[in-house]
Amino acid sequence: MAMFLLSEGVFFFMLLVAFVYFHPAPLPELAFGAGAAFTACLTASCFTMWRAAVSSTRDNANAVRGWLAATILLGAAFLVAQGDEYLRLFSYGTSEATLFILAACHEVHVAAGILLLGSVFLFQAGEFRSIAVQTVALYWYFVTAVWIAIFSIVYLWAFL
Amino acid sequence: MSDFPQASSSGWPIPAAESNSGLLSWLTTIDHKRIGILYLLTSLFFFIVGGLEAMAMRTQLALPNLKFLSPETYDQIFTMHGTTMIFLVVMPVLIGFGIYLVPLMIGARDMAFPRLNAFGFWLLICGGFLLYFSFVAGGAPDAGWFSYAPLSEKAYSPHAGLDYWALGLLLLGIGTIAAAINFIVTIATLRAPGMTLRRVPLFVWTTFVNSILVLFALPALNAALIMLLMDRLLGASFFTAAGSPLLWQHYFWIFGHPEVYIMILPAFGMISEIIPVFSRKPIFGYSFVASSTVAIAFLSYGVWVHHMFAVALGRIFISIFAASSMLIAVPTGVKIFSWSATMVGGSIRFTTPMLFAIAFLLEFTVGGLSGVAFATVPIDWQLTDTYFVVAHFHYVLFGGTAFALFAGVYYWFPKITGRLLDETLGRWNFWLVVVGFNLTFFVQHILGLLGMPRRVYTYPNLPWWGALNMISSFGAVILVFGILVFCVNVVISLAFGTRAGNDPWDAWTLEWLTESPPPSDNFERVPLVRSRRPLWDQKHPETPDWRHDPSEARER
Repeated sequence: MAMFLLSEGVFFFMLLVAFVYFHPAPLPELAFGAGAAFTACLTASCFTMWRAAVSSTRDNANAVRGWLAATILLGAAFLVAQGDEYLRLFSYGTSEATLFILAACHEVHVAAGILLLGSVFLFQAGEFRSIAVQTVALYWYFVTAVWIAIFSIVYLWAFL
Repeated sequence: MSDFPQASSSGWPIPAAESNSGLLSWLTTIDHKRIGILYLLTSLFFFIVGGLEAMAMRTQLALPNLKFLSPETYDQIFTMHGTTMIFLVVMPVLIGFGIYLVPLMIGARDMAFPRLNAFGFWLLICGGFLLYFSFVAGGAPDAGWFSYAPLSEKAYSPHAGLDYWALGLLLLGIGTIAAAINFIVTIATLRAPGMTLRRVPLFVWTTFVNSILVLFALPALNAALIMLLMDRLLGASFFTAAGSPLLWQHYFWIFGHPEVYIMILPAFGMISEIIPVFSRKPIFGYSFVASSTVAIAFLSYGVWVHHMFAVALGRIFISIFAASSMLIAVPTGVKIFSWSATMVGGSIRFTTPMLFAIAFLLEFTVGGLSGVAFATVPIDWQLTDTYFVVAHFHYVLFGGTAFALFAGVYYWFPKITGRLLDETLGRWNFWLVVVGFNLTFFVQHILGLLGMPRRVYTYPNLPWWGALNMISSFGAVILVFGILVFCVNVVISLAFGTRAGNDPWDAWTLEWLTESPPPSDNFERVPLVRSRRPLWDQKHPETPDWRHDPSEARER
């Protein structure tokens, strides 16, 4: 998983470089408040994921399931809310392709992560010291980290 | 010397197909040996397709002002020839050999992720299918294998061929990354007891470093392809005139330069296995070969602009890359010296694999010299996009990688199939290929110096251009006969070849310990590895490597 994340990291890095290179003018429609709220959502899901991983090493199957469910809910909330935000931006006529490609690729990764979390919840949460939970945790930390990078460069840069 | 029972490669039992024969078992296999063979057969198929494309090109170029192919068709043919040979032949065949050999060489039962292994193979099939489907869906891609913007944009290439190209390459890229992840984890975690990283066969080393190169280079291509698709299908403007066509060049070559090293490093590994065995001497400077491989990997990310010297990027900027491009020749030179030094003082056996390996040394050196000539910017300005470039990369990719692959096929065929390839046919194969290859491509250096551009469907009757092109096309015909002999050799030897035992070449690495072909679990028992030549230690218990080599003795 670590190796896969290294390669995905390069992929997102290249997209971020394209964004920085084209240096679009700050979009007035970018709602910083909403973006920050959803970022908090995702960061919270990262925390719950960490708790799930720790519970897995302590073989507390019920806690694992609980924390995983929380992660899935928070992740789904982020997905829906951020997706809604992008649709709003799109309807304004913002055609900033570099932003949308970053957003779309990240959302796809979040969605895939939720599917992964779901399958781990259904099939692996009860396993003895399940390595699946640790592996998915790595992936989820990566997805959060990428979002923080995107948020910083896109949102914060626009407002600084 | 203690033996160990084969450890299972993961905590979970590996599911197996219910029967071992029949088409379904091959289609659903997760056994690395079968997947390796599937990769090799697929790349052989696409090699023939790509070769037919090349013959079409050489026919069109044999005489000036010929009209055998229309310009539009010619553009599609050269694009597909390049794309096929790189993504559907060279990369799969190198991955295929790695998938087959790496677990055997490190004494493992299978790769670390057998199902991911199969997934990578089926992505190869899907990607290749998608790429070739373009021929019947409005025309194949025709913007060259590196599809420069803005030619690749919708405005200049409205047909769907380039969409197929981008999508096909995306699938192939994901499959390659999957294989790379598999190699890294396998080599890091499944080595036999006692086999430290400084004792693995050099082919394993080069595969390992290669996989790290893939991990960092392919995502750059994937990002660029997604941006291109967004441009073409969703009206974005990453690489259009409103955006930056130059950015495509940067992104593509940040992938493209490591890519050419990806296409040669495993071949270096094969040569490092073959030359010592047929010189009856261990490789000279194992550590140098291994560390120069790592050096090449690092440096390969710092030279990409040498593909863009003709773009006005600024003197200082291109000087830096000119310097780094000269620097990267050094680690490869170290390897050439190591292989040559291995042969000096050895007792050479001129079998077909050894003949191809020696030819590799000469041809690859020629290719490397023409390459480093390009590092000199004024020379590059004169020769870029001419046939000199075509000659250069065919010398390194055919004279280099393909020759190493021929050597590898002749060397490992007995292990894979249990039968030896015929030596007489092998010699015919060798000489026809050597003569044909050099006739075809050496004259292209001269054509390039005379100013003939690449990617032109025909040319005017300038002095010497017609004659040299005719020689080149004639050489290509001889090359085709050589490859035909190779195919005949494979087919005949599969049916009637001499049966090979476990170790027909008296070699030293672990794959020769087991039967030919290996049983499904690879090894009954794996020896404790105490040196770089575990089989030598087994066969010569009175003079094992670890007793005589002071560096070995320290590494317990």
